[in-house]
Amino acid sequence: MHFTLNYFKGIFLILVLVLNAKIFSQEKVHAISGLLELGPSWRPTVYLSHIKSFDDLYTISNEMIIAESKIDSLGRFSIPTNYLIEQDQLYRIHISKKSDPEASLIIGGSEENHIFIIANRNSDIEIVSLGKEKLLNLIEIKEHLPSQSLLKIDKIYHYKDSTDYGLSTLKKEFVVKAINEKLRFVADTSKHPLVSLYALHKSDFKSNYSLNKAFYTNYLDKWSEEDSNYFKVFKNQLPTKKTKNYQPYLVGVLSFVLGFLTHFLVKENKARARRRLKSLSVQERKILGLLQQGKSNKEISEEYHIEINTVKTHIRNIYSKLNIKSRKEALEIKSDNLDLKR
Amino acid sequence: MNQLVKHITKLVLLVLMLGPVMAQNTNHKNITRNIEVSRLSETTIIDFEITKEVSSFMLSVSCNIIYGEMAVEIHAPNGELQGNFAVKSILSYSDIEDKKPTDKNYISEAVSGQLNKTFNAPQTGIWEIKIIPRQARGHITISNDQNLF
Repeated sequence: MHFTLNYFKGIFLILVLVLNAKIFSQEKVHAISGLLELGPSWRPTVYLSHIKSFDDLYTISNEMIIAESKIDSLGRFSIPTNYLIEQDQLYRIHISKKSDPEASLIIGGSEENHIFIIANRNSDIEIVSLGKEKLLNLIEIKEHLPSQSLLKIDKIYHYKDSTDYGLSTLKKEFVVKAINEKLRFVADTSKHPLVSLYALHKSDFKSNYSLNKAFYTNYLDKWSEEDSNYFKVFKNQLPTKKTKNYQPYLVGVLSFVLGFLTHFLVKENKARARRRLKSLSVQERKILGLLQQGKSNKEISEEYHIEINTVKTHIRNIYSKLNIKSRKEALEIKSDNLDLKR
Repeated sequence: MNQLVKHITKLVLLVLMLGPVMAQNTNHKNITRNIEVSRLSETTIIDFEITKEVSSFMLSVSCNIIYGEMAVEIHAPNGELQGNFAVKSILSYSDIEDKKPTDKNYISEAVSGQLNKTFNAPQTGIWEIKIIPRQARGHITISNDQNLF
């Protein structure tokens, strides 16, 4: 009896272990799936292309197609995303007409055959057409915010072409300008780098750059840590790359030049003063010395026992040789610089 | 007399029916061009003039290539890019030079692109469609449908 109980216990434990192993080994399958009811002129296949840069948004090639899924009789399709890379990337989903090659892209018009999505290997994206025989330009994306945002950006962008401008080209200018501003606002406020860049690409940034440089400088600063290929290509596309700030170097060089010039000028002034002083005779130097002591002409004449007119002549000569015009200026000549003691 | 009345009635009805059709024709202008591109073709610019009389126009450029690459750009009179696309085949001339046009691989690797765009209140002047082939073989169809005032 005891043996039988143990036996059943053992079997039960093994069953539990096997069941657990099975449950844990089942990895969740992520997928881009959806429901499309296409007309008879369309191939019942959905293609997924990897868009490596925003320059390739409207480039089509068989090389870019990385997966495809048949659309079943109920209109369902599913493309697993488990093999996609871990980081968010831009992808394009397209369908093609039976009369066209598989790699065919229709841009604009009622038969537009593609949409863009953002996905990674853990993405679950559901695409549902908004009615029978509606193409990819009339769809809804469920439960995937970044891809939903791309659809909203497309809707904003399409106002440019769908608005009735009547006869007014001016109205068109205003509307297009307003739409581009709106797209820039989306780019500025979006927290997802690819959504933000997608909006900016739709906003005609190349012609706006020269008018709004501050915006783009701030934009690049905001996403400075983004090193994906999308941002690398975008940075290279801006008409002028972020200019280097040479101001500190310039200030340094100017300070050095100014310092050198000041030093040179002071030195030159002293040398000139010395040269002038040397041009004075011994008597003139003595009289200059007395002038600097504040002595009057009469006091100088008494001290050196010379006529007052002779003193005046010496003083005129001193003024002329030193290029000065008054006693006040004579006082400013430093005696040590003038080497009067020599 | 009855015959005469019948004829006049038919004539009036014909004029009434044809009137709007003819009026439509006078307010509409459609130009279609087909261009063949071969391996040695260089960049070609197709231009067309949009006058003040054009209220809107619809431009459709479709391109199909068998090998090589081809880019298409639409430029407004002020030089601004108004639309573009590119098609790239994984085949080059050397891959298919000795194959027949009915070869399955030859056809399955073809690539096509089409750009349809309506321009309301368009800029007046010369619009340009730039076709840039790179060692490509294929053809392009340009259709320009202008609505006049």
